[in-house]
Amino acid sequence: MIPSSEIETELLAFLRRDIFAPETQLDGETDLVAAGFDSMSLVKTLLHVETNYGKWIPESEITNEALASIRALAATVARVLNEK
Amino acid sequence: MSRAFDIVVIGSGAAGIAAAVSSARAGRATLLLDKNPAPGGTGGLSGLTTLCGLYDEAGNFLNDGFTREFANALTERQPPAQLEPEAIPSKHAGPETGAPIKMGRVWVRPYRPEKFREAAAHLLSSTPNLQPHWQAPLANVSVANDRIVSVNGFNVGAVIDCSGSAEVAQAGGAECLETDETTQATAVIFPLHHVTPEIHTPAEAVKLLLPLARAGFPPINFQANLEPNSLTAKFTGQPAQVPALIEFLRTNIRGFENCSTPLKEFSVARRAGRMIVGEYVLTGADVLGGRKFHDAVARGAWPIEQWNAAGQARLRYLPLGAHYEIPARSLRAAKIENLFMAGKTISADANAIGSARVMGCCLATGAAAGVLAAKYLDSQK
Ligand SMILES: Cc1cc2nc3c(=O)[nH]c(=O)nc-3n(C[C@H](O)[C@H](O)[C@H](O)COP(=O)(O)OP(=O)(O)OC[C@H]3O[C@@H](n4cnc5c(N)ncnc54)[C@H](O)[C@@H]3O)c2cc1C
Repeated sequence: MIPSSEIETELLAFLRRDIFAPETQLDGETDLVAAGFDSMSLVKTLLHVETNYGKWIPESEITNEALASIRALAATVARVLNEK
Repeated sequence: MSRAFDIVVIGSGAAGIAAAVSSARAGRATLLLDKNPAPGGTGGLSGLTTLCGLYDEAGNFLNDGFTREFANALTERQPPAQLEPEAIPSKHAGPETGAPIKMGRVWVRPYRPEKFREAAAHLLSSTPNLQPHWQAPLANVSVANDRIVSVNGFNVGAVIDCSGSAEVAQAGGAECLETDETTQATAVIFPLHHVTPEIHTPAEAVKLLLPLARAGFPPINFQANLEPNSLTAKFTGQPAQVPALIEFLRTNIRGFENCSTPLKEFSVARRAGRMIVGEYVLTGADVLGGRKFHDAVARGAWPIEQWNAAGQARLRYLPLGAHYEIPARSLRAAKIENLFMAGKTISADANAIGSARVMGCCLATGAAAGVLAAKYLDSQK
């Protein structure tokens, strides 16, 4: 089991490094779209998750709720990874 | 002895159209030179279909005057009545009325490129005091005592560089700054017809884009345009990859089974450009901080866009509701006293130009540069 808090920490580090300007305030609850997250950045983040954890996120899991914040995304990723 | 003009404008993109018309309207004999056979520049000829940078957060015009006039000239039917924030039309009202549509946090105006070219040609041919020369590349700039005395053999009082790449400034030896394709990636722009996609939410966009990314295609961005069942694609790959991309969409993506493009050849549009160092260099901090100036001549509110070499956008927004100003000093060259600039080539650093290069801003700086050049000539009497 990978806990979703661990995924959240890892995702935050990735976003700070590769997506957002260093000065952007980010935490698990930041509204990603309001922070300036465009669809290409979302795609880049999902690709990162897929290469990092070795599993594709199924289309049915890609919902607006799952993409609303890093915490919501981490929870979705955790559920997908921990599924048998 | 060759003819003299008060003002010579180089380039007939968004900036040059605005500069030439406003200089001629100020009563100045104006010559417009473009290497192309017709006006339009990037806005009219690259396949782009959205005017960015026209509006503030509430959907109201940031700049009045020529900018608003030109935007309304692109409208298919009646221009919208005065836009009140609460009266902003829904997404579907946009294409019919010329009203803006919302893309993420910002408002844009969809347009047809042929209408852009038509409006430009009409304005340029119907304005008195204005003489355009087509297929007239910049060939010769002579400078004496820090002033440009002639351009292509025409004696001239002032010059406005709207070439997008500081052609006059370079020929005249003025100092320039550069952006490059590692911060402003190129793109191939083309329309995709016969598509019936549903992309209204981030999740729907991701479902469309993720399979393309997994298949290894460079980033692509789709925008609504004014044609029915059509999108404008901005693809960061190479022209030669476009047929494979379209085939992939037809085979794999719902709503794209029958998609096709009318284009036979694809070309690369360049975001990168060259800026002329002026009396003031507008900075990324000025843009993001919504800075105001005592000698402001134009306003902008578009986020700073940077596109890395892999074609990924990084957008940095101004605070909600904020706008910045562009000072007259950023439209006047530092070293050559009668050289002005507008559009993609204003005095701005590589960050600031990531915002100020959108066409709404190019129109506004163009109109302002035309007026500034005319005032400069008044002061020389
Ligand atoms: C891929 C891409 C996507 C973009 N997307 C958008 C968008 O969606 N919305 C938006 O608002 N903006 C967008 N932009 C930015 C915007 O289109 C340009 O920054 C803007 O159009 C520049 O206008 P301009 O008048 O300064 O220069 P241009 O439109 O480039 O015009 C320059 C003119 O100068 C002429 N010229 C150049 N050199 C010479 C010479 N030596 N002699 C004579 N004439 C010369 C050219 O022929 C041309 O007509 C995009 C740009 C790119 C590349």
